[in-house]
Amino acid sequence: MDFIIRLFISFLMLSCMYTLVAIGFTMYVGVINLANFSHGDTCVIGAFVLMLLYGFLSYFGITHSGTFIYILTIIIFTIILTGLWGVLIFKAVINPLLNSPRLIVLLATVATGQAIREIIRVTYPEGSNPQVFPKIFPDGGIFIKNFLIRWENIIIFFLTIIILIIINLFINKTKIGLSMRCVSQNYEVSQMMGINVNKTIMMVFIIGSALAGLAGIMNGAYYRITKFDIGSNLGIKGFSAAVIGGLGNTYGAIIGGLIISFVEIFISGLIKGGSQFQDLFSFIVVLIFLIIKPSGILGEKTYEKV
Amino acid sequence: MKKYKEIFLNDILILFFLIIFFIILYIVLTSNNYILIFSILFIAALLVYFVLKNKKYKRFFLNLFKNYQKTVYIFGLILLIIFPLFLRNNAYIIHLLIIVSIQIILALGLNIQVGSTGIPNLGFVGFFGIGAYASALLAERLGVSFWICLIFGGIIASILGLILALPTAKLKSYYLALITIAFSYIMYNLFLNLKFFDGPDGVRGIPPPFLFKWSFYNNLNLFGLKYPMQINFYYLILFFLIIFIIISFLLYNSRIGLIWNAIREDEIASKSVGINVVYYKILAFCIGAFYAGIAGSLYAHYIGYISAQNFTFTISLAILSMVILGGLDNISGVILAAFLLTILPEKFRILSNYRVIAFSIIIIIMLIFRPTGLIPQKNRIYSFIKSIITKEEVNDE
Amino acid sequence: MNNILLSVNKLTMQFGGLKAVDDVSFTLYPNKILAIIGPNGAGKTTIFNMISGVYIPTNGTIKYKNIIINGYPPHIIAKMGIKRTFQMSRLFNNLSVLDNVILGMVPQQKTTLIDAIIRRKSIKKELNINIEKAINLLDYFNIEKDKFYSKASDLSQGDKRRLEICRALASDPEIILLDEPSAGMDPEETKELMIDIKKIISLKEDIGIILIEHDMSVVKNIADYVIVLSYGKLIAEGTFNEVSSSKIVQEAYLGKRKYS
Repeated sequence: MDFIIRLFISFLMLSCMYTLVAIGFTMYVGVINLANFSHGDTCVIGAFVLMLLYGFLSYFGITHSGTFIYILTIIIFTIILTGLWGVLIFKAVINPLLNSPRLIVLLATVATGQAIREIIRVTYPEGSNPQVFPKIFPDGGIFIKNFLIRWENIIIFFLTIIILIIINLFINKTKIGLSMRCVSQNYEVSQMMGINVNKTIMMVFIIGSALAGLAGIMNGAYYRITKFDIGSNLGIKGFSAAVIGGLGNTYGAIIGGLIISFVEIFISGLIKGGSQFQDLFSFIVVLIFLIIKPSGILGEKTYEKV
Repeated sequence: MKKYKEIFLNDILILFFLIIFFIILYIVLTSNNYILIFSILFIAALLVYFVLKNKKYKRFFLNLFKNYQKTVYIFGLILLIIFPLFLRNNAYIIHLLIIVSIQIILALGLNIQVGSTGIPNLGFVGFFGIGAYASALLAERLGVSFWICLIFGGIIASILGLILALPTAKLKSYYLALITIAFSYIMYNLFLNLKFFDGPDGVRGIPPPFLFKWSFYNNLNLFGLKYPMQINFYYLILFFLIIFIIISFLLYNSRIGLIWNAIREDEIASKSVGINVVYYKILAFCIGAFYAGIAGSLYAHYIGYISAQNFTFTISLAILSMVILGGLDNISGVILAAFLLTILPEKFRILSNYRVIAFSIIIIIMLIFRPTGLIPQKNRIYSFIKSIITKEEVNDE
Repeated sequence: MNNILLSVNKLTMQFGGLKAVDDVSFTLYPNKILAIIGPNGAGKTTIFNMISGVYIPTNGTIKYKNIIINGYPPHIIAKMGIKRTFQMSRLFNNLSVLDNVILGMVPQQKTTLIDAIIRRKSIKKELNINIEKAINLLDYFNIEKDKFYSKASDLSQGDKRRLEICRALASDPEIILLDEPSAGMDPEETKELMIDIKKIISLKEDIGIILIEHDMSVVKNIADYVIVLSYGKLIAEGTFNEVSSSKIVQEAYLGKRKYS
């Protein structure tokens, strides 16, 4: 019984991880019709920036590492910095390619992702090796019927849900969100209606990158470990989750996350020696979904404008 | 008589320049003296720059190449054949040229999918791998002759391409990108974990090609001189390289190449003019995969040992960077890019840590500023109506 | 008059809860120009999309020379002889003007992959025929020779429109669908366009043209028959004069008159 609960919690946590990444992908595809293959690696930026800040501050002897305020401040800073990275990516890579064929922009994001991976590997001390991630979550948790639900489980779970709701509200209720929806419907008309399309797209990148930063932090904090190249795997799984759930639909991100993590936890938890194969099986599931129902479970925007 | 004299002089001129090119190549490849390499390349670059700047010289060389294309190819081929004869003591350089050739074949194959047709295939390495494994296992486990294994590798890769393409050709570009990545990860995983593929250690002792009873691993005795066994593979792979280059050009200059380009430009418009987009995408997948399969087989039987580590995602990206650097569907550009991106990292070993960063940044810069690639490429020119356009060339002056 | 080219019967297109096209019927005869007009969003392009196979109609039939073509994929319909242009020009932008027209001949081309590798002579032969035809077509529509090798995206707006028409005509279609060909043109260019459209009829005598237009001078000048769409429904049909004097049509365009 214990084992099953533990398994279930792992499953839930993994779902949250993938969902956090998937939300970003859904935004990029939904608003700009772009598959941003550097999104996963932007998550890793978040993780490494946080580690850098931690290292930086402790170098200067500022280590109130237990305090909630301290941790929160660093996290917020990291997210802001990662959001700024979004600005950089937009100005350097995306903006020049706004009028290029889709294929070219896609390839550019792939190259960007690879550049991020390598820059981290080369510039961070011992970059090729796995890095220990600082402790963010407090020990202990809440006891429910003799079973301990750790703080990290609770925080990550609710954080994911809150972010989903916030993003949804943002897109549906704010002015910027409105301009995003307009741009996603019709690029040209949006411009004619006075929407600053460039600014809107840049906002998407800022929010997407900030989200990625948060996802990377949560990932690192939960597993207490991170490495320069987990971004590609995370990105692919996150994108797959978004696709399975239905691109363009934020709630699809959860469904996709649940499905992929279910496959992985199931395979690695219940089959001997399964952890080697878990990637294989989740990719096979993705492949099957893409073949049978590419528009995803909740469906994406249909009917291409001809 | 005067005409023959002119042709003869031009032939000598071409031969002269080609020989100079190969001498420079020889020096750059074999020397370890960076100063020497840099100065030679610098002088060569300066000369090329000045020639291009001077309209008269530029016109002269362009015409020379255009009118004497056959001569350039024949002399070039002869020089390619005798080039390794001077590398008797440089087995490593011959090895390098072999690897370059294999990369060029891979890049040409990917070019058909990405460059010509616009399919974002990020998992090309999967075809390379299956070709290598299919060929290697057939040879090592069943003792089948190399020549059959080679074709087998190519065909298996094509079949895999067909299986992958059939259900997915209709999907939008980012779905395809994801599928191809998933595909290559699955292949990598299979190579790594399945007993069938001798994972994780890999397949060892892959038998070399045999020509009648003579093994390609034997050193070659030519004109009384002993040549390292690499030279056998050099000629073998050069042979296939030339074939694939010719096929690429033939396809480009045919209705198929044009249709592929149309699909890349606008799928909906393509359908509206009667192009069966799904069929041609599948065709591009299969043909490109065939290139990779043959390259995989050649690689496996040359190195003699393959494992999952040879077929990672990073390699897909490396081949992709060659196609982008060369320019989408720019065959000469892709060949040059593959050559540079293989040789330069070897030559500048010190910077090898930064190699991938450099590749990525080069790709981004190329995509933004020069998506047509290193070598400028004009649209297809039809000699049929060249006369109508000569007016334009005159205005060029 | 017995050979009906296209017969559209009770055609309906439903997107979820929205009926973009509602129970529309019309007929196209050879050598005739049929114009579809109506305010924006009336469903005109949707009809084109259904005829050309991009959408599958939810209801109704489309009969091309007595064959029901509902649900046929776009490339099959093109091969059968129905070609179209697009509201926003869809040219093969990075390919040359000449290549664009040659690609228009795909339905009639016969060479295969094997030919490309082994039988180059047949490739060359077919290419020469295609090029000659393309040059003639481009000439006929007044696209200048020195533009033949230019990238399609480098052409002027008017030339782009004409190029799209050339590409559509390249395969000798029986029906050509023109989607707002005069969009973005000034009065001079519009006059040229009308001449060009009339040229289509003289080029191939039994071709049928369906035209979506907003510019009433074009419709008045060249349309043989007009149908008016509003909110997906056919609200009037007839000659231009009949239709333009209809009160229903005026209301559809201008809204009901309010009297104080």
